[in-house]
Amino acid sequence: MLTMTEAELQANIRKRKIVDMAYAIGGFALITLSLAVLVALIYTLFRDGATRLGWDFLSSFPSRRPENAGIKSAFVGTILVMFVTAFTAIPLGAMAGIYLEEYGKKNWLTTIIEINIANLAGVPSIIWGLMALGLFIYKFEDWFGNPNDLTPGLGRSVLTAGLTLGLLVLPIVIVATREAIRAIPQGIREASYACGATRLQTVQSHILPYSLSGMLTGAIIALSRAIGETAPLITIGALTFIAFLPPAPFASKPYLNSTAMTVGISEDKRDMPLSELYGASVTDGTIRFHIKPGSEDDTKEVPHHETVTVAATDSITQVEEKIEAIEGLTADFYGDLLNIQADFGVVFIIEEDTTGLIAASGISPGGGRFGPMEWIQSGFTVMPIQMFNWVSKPNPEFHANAAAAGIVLLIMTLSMNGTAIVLRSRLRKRIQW
Amino acid sequence: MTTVQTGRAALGAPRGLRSLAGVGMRRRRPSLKTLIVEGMLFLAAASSVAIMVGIIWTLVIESVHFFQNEEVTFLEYFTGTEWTPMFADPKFGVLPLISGTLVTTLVGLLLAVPVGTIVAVWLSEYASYRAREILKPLLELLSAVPTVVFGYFALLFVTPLLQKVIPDLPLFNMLSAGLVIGVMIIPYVASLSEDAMRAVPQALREGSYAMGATRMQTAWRVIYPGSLSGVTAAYILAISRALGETMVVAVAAGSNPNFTIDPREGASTITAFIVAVSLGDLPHESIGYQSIFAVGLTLMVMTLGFNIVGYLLRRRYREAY
Repeated sequence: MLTMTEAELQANIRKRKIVDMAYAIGGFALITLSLAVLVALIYTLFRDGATRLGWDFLSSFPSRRPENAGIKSAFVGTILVMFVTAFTAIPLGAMAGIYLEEYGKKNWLTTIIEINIANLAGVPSIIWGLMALGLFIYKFEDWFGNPNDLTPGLGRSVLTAGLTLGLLVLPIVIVATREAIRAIPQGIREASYACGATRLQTVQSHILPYSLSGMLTGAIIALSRAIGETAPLITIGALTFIAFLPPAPFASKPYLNSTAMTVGISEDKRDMPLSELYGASVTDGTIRFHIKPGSEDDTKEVPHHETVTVAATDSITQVEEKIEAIEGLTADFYGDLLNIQADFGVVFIIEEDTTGLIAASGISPGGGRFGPMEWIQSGFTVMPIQMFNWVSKPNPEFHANAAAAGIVLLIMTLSMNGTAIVLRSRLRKRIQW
Repeated sequence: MTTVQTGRAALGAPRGLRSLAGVGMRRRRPSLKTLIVEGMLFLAAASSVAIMVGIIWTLVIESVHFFQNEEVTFLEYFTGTEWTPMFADPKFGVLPLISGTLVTTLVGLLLAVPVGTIVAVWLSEYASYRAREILKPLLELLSAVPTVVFGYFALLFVTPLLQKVIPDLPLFNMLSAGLVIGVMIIPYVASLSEDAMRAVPQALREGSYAMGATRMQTAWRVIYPGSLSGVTAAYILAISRALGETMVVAVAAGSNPNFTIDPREGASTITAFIVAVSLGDLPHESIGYQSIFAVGLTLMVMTLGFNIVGYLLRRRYREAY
């Protein structure tokens, strides 16, 4: 039996209250400190990158010169990839969620699916990238690829990237859908059945509309997660330096943009030798093309190589003429870009460049295989990869670009999350069953 | 669809109604549209299984190819302390990558678990309703920051800061990467633990207060043990996140495999190695290409192992309220 005098008891209570108070203050301090990290992070980005932000940064392609570089291709790439991601994750996730809540009976199959979805949510994101690389890119090529086609399978394309991220965030959409559906009272369903509706009719006219805003919240969260994902896209080989946009829908010709080294080429420089324009980084050498000409019966045409020999003393105009000597290709320097277009049906790849003229190239199969959806087959880069590329460079001026890209990325993800949080709390207040 | 369908009225209705319908109405086969739509719903749900099979199959098949190479042996893979698959004289001991992964994870957990738990207790037991409604979403915003941005923060803010304390700290080190991973997973630990703590019945709290306990004594002696199952789940999720974290370590922890447990050194992790290899143009079916799948499978097994341990612990601590 523990005995205490009253004074001891008083002291004990006082002591415990002080410890309690200290914890109250300490806990608040810790949470403030955690939030301070967020502030420090935003501060660091603005400290390094604020000067780079501006319209030029948003509307320029990446460049070897940090002060000219921008995020145009990365921004467009992110939007396109997110488009595919949304089209993969939202319908698939909503349908799976509806099945599990409204149709799934309590049996082993449903249990397996449920456990499986929980496990998918825990798969590290880089593993998704390995899956996409091994399965979507290489195995699909083995199974469905056509040896005459230069980009068989899904390739390292916007489509592959969007699909991968879509599957990665699928569990988020499914869980959000199920939560939204579960919040609908059983009475609604029973009322619908009592009126003679079938299960599908009940889903169509009651379950779906009532859970739509909950699903929307989940979809926004899922997309904001996907926007920031970097690792899986690096594994599938998103290009880190890309200075072209995927073909616009309804573009008249299949085409390929290659980036010549970045120097603004105005008309008066068209006849200057390359060595004067670019300095020592362009040397005599060759550019080798792999070409598959198109014809009516294009499976019979054999791919072949064409080589263009470029001298450092050549001018831009001469390079254009040399490329155009190849049947089916036209070339045009436009600003920073060496824009090579192919005739309809002609597919080509720049296989090798020993001149140093071409810094990066994007492969577009041409031939209009996907019609207005041609962009889906294009090579791409996205914002987080562009940022990673810049932060990995030792030059601090590139770090400023990385910081500026980080600001844009942060604005996108935080505003999406903010929207979702507001939407969710609004929803909680509005719905009173 | 608002057409009146008398004959089908009873279809899909609860069982009681169906037997009633049998008296006056004949049950018809569902329409083709219904069958198609419902079939699609099922396929969508079942696709998750196909995806999992796809992931495991890809990892396993390429790993098998990796171990079929003459240069690679199981023994060397699991006991070797050198990992140089790209060198002319390649060595395939995965331990340096595992040590890098575990050290960064451990540093992260040493920060995130105490801080996350204390914050969760504070949010659950101390914070007013208003404070919680404001602070919890704000904290969750921290987990919405893209990991590559955290990587930038680690390399260009945390590392210079740490270098003021530890002057000979190299630019690329596991300490800074691990700490930032810790910050990144604080929201997961705090948010999920708080959910679990709030699920502890109010009566237990009141019982504790009635005995004269302070809020802190209640929190640590009643609420925390009572919510341990849910809190463990939060810790396990945090471990999974930390193990699989890629961009922070790829940016800030360095890219040389280094068999060490000193967090002040730089070292590559499993994930950072995969990124480094993927950035180069690796020929398909080369041994380097296969190696990223083998280490990927290793990572997957490690994550799975922790999850199983967590599952067992949770079962052990489960409290039914």
